[in-house]
Amino acid sequence: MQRVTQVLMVMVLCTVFVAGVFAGGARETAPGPMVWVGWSGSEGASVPVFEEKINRWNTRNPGDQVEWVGWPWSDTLQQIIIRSQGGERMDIAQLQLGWAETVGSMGILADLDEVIGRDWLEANIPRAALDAGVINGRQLAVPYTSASIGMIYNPSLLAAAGVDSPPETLAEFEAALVALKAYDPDMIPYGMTTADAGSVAQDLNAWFWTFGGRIIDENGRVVLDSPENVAAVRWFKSLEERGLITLDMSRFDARVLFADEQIAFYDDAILGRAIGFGNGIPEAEWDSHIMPMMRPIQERGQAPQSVLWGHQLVVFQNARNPQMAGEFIKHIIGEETGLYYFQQTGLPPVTNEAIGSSVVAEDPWTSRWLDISSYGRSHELLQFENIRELQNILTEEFQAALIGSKSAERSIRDAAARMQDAIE
Amino acid sequence: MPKNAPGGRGDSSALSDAHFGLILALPAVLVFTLIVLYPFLNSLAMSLFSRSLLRPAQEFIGLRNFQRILRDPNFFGVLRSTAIFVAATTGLSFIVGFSWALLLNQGYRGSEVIRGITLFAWIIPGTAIAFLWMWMMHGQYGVFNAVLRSLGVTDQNITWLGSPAFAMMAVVLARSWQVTPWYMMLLLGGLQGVSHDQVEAARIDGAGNVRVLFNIVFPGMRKVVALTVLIGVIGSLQHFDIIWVMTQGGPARATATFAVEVYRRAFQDYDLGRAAAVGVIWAAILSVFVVLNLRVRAEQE
Repeated sequence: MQRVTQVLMVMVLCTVFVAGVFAGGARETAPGPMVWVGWSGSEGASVPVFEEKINRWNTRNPGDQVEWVGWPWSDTLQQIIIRSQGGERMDIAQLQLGWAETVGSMGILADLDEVIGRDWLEANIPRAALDAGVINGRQLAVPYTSASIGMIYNPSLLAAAGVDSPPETLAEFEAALVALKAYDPDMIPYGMTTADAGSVAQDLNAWFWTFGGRIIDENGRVVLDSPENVAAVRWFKSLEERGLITLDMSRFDARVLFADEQIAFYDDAILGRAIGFGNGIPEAEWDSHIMPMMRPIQERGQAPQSVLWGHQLVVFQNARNPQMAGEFIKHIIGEETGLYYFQQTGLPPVTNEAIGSSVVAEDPWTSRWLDISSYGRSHELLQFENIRELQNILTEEFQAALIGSKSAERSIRDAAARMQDAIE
Repeated sequence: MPKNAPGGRGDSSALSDAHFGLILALPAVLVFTLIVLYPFLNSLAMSLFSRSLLRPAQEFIGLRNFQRILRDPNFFGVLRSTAIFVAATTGLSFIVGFSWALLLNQGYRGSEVIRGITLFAWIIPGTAIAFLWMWMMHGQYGVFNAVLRSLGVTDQNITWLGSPAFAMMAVVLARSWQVTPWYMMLLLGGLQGVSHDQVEAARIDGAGNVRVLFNIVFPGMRKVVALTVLIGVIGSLQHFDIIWVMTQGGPARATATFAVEVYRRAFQDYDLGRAAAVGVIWAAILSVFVVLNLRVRAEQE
């Protein structure tokens, strides 16, 4: 009798285990609220802003509630991919510019021409911003905020080092870095991002353009191995040897060190001032401690370079109600919510009416940044679904040149060969 | 056994001991199959396919993933980094852990408390340890540079995680700090099993500390040392979180071990086929140590 009981217990245990495993793997089919995924709504100061934006929608649409699910920025793309593969329902996602190519290639995104309506999109969003969300001829993403990566400098540090105005040419920039290092030998004058592949590849792309080089040509072939790009890497190596830039510098580190006046220049997006504020630069000191500038050029008369930056919104094909998800996007990027978001975070709106409003036009930081953005071009690796692999290769080879394990020529040559292999 | 006893041969409705044992083992077998065996076989099969994380379609390509990996000059860098990381971490943790165990084995007052405190490092999550060491070794505001500069060892900041050699040293230090208490506990257990009589007799015969250590203590705990080192090697071969948080395998792949390589292939390159192939090679290397471990255990029993 005791054995029969034990055998029964074993069978119950096995049944519970197997049922648990398969129940865990079952697809989520319960209706529930619409799920908006991304990262910004989980980042410190933005949390109440996102709550307010969602509350406004939920109050007006009690039958179509939205809830936020967020992850750190660096995990978001991976989470979206893995959850999509697992069949988990997500309705709307915030993506970094460039991720839509990867997520779009999975065939899980809805065509926003059908969900939101072509007429509404064309009437409200500038053509160039819309085009950035066209993947294989379909409008899979719409802009959420859009600007470009520019450079930020600390006017008071420059003045203390005897530099009267922000440098315009490479020669002036290099001279300013040398002066800053002489002023404070412990300072890293330029907080160039040398760690974190996504940022390194993006910033390098703008510098390659400055030197006259490119990464990819019109036919999608890697053209990285050029004298211009070698010259750029050689220049960075010379900056590193003199302590004017350093290895192991992430964007996060650069922002913290800039606020702490241990860095005088660094690359960032338009949200740099809001982050500087969060890192301790008081509003009263903005004009003297944090200002945007054009990326230096080789010779006067050339166009300064800048890589387009922004966030996009997408709707998933398996959304509970794709049309309603489209309505939510209209709410989020529309004039009222778009301007509220701008006023709270400094991130520019994307609709024509909001962009043209006096609130945006009269903000000096934003208007200067929009000047930088007018030179914005797409990061050349955005067109590839394995963008992260390509960025990793470029970053590894650039680091190899900086640490001296490879010459500038060899690192560029190896990067070009590896990238071409990864594309094929 | 009487013919009519439960489980006896004459009782055809009852289960034999062997069948009964099998049924009792069934839940464990089921768990093992679903959690270990199936994923392993699935990885083995996946290594023979071209498969992306981005879409479910896959194509059988035989051993081409392995060929690509072995043709990649960076793969041998991964082998080298893994070997350095495992050897340095195991060596350092063993030396410090054993020295610490010897000290605690002397039975000084408060050694029990110190042993408990030492274990804190072992129970802290790897990610937290990685952040702790990353901040201590930060080039601009890390305590390492502050101490070295105040001692006059250097007059400028060192970018520890920006140099291949220093970055490897940093992850080895952080990992060793994490696992040294574990080594200490196992080795202390082994030390306590060494015969005091033999140690006393050797001392009466005039043996010094070093001779006692190498002629009495080490031989007496040979199997414990072998097991500790083997399990330590296996743990370091599998290690991921501290390296990923501190360096992400950089700079220029200097700290890219097998664990980092598999993660990057799968979740950054979205190439599940190649990630699985790296995983298979990794598992093959690991299995050498697992077999050694099993042999030592069998000998011990």
